[in-house]
Amino acid sequence: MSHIHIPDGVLPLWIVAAGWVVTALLLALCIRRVDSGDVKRKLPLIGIVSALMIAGMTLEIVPIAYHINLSIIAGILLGPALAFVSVFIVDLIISMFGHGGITVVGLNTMVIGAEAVLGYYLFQAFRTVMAGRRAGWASALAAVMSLFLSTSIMLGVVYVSHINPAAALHTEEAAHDTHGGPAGDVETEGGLDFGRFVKTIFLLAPLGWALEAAVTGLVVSYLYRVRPDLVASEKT
Amino acid sequence: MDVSAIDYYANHGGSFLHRASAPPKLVFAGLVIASVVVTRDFYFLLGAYITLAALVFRTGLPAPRVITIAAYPAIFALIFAAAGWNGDWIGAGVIILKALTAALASVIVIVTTPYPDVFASLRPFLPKIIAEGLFLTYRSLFLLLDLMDNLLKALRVRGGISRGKIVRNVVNFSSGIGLLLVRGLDISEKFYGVMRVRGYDGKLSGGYVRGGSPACGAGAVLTGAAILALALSIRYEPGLESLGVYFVYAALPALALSAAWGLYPKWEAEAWKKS
Amino acid sequence: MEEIVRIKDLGFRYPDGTSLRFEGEDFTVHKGERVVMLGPNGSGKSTLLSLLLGLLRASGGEVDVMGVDPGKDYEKVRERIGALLQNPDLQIIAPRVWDDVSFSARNYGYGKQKTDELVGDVLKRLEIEHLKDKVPHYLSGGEKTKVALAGALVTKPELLILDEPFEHIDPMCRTEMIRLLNSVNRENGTAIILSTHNMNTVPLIADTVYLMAVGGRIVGKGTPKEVFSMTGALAECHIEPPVLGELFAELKKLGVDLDPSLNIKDAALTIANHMLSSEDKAGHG
Repeated sequence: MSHIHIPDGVLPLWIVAAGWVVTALLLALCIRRVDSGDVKRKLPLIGIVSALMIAGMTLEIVPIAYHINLSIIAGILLGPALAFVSVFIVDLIISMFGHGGITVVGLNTMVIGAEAVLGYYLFQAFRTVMAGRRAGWASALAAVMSLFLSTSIMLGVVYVSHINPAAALHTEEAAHDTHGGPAGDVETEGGLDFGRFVKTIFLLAPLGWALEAAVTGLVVSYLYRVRPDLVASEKT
Repeated sequence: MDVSAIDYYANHGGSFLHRASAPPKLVFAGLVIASVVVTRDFYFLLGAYITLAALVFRTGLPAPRVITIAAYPAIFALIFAAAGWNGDWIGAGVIILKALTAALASVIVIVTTPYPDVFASLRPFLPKIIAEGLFLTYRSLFLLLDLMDNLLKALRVRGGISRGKIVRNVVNFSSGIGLLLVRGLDISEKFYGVMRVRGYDGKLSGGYVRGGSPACGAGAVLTGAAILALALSIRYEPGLESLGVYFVYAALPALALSAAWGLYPKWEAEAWKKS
Repeated sequence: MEEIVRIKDLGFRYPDGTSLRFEGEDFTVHKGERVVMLGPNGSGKSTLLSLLLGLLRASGGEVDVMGVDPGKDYEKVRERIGALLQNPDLQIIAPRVWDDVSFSARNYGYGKQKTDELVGDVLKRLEIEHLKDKVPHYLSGGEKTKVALAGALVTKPELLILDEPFEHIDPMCRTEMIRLLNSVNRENGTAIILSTHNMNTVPLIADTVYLMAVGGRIVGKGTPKEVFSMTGALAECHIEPPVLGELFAELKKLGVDLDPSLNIKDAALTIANHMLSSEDKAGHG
């Protein structure tokens, strides 16, 4: 729901560059946080979780054309630092397959990485509140909140880019709503009423959040039954 | 995003682009994307897109399929263009062509280059964990896709996914993902065991990039450089704005010739043969 | 002959609480020896191999591989050991066949020239040079097994550990693999420890056979001939002996006690000789 699918060459160069710089700094921070022994042990897990995210993106839930990110699950399984690394790997690979622009990989990583990182911390917090029970519900709640926050980050990116934001979201409903909206030159002007746009997005986006939260909650609850060690442990 | 098809094309083609090694092709894609970033000219973008489409036909791969794979970002470009619609067809066309051209450039590289070559070429520029993660992700992806294929068949055959039953579909689909994840975690643990037993010390890939034909590599780089040079000239050289139109005129016959070539694969000794 | 593997009263407990105890006969492997482990599911064959490879840590008893406890110090001996685990698809982790076969050599820090030489040798020996640049997911089951085996053999190990290596391959490939393992054993003096469910391969690849019952108890040890005549132990392990073993056992029941042969040629000779000598006796009588 919070993918940036803005094509290459449309966003101002400075914001594309800023996306790369911020992502590079965050990646450096994440890599420093994890000790090398742990990386060797976790590398196959990073591979599998990243592969699962890509596999998830190739699937659509029938009959709603929506693909899941599994970013919160990545956060819960890998911890915030390695999940951010995993999200970067996923974004890099899918951009090569023409699924999103190559120049916006930095921005994409920021947004989806935020989902994973926030997802992890919120899940830990909710589990503490729920005294360690109901992992499924804790993860579903964490998913809703993370997606709310990551969508907000994405809207922030769109706002500061001074581009017409309706096309930025991975949601066809948004497009229907903006047909015939205020005109504007995408490269020079803000385009449409940003406040109205935000309202529209926050009206439509919860459908996507609900789906991702349902899938996350059910998967985590399944995982908690068969491999509780992977879900319950705290990670760096 | 048909990962299996893309991978199959990369590993089974024999065209001049398949024969070029990965680094020049990555430079080619970089140059084309740079030209997309630089330009604002509709005709230049149209010419560049037609040129790339001609290249796709010359790869001997199923061109319509490859072009369709690379058209995915156009959906969002279309939404984007519609959102900023002010009656200017050219402006909307620029946005859509930017998306299509950039995506086609990267897809051309990925359908003509096996992934170990692409990742090994990127490796010097990436932190070790990311470089190693790329290789393991791709290896894991094909194991998971096999599992997922079986899983989806099982879900369909047993009535786990059916039209109109959204809640039931989501629950069954989530169980499937959970199962896939558990199997995936088993695989990751086996991988770790194997890596330990075989003495893993941070060198998953040998890092070698298959050497290719220098002429084919040079051809790719020169094509990319020419496209960028044209984009820069049109944008910054006064009086050369109309070059874009001539570019389209030049690209169209090239596309026609390549398409004709592609329609008769027997003309190309190493043409794509669908197995 | 120098002993390179020994276990004594080894125990292992799984996370779910079930446990294995490898007691009964001593389990030892000598330099250059070919050892086959036979047993039903749940007898702990794979677990024992994982314990020898330091992938699991014992909950009790002793395990000694080339003078070290692999659970603690496997790194000290891993360069001398090659392993082919169950399901070769999961053993091939590098992006291309060359990368995977050279994996151990590169990670142990062998120079480029030596690595190229070793990889070239092993690819030639297994007749898979043409697969060098292939990515693993386009290989057939037999090719995957060969690639995984090449990766295990590349550093010319003193000990080769194989967990059900004949599972994913056709009979022709199996015969070829047995020939190859025997030639590696003969030429390099490589000891082999192998687990399998395929009884007919045992006489072709084993000097010593261990029979393992559910729970890990080692209930029989000997040459293939000796082990396949232990009818009680075989029944305890739910193992059906190879067809020829059964044939000689049935003949014995009928009062024809012949030295059991486990390959068709020898068995035919034994039976023919017996028949001829019986005819002679009848003729003289």
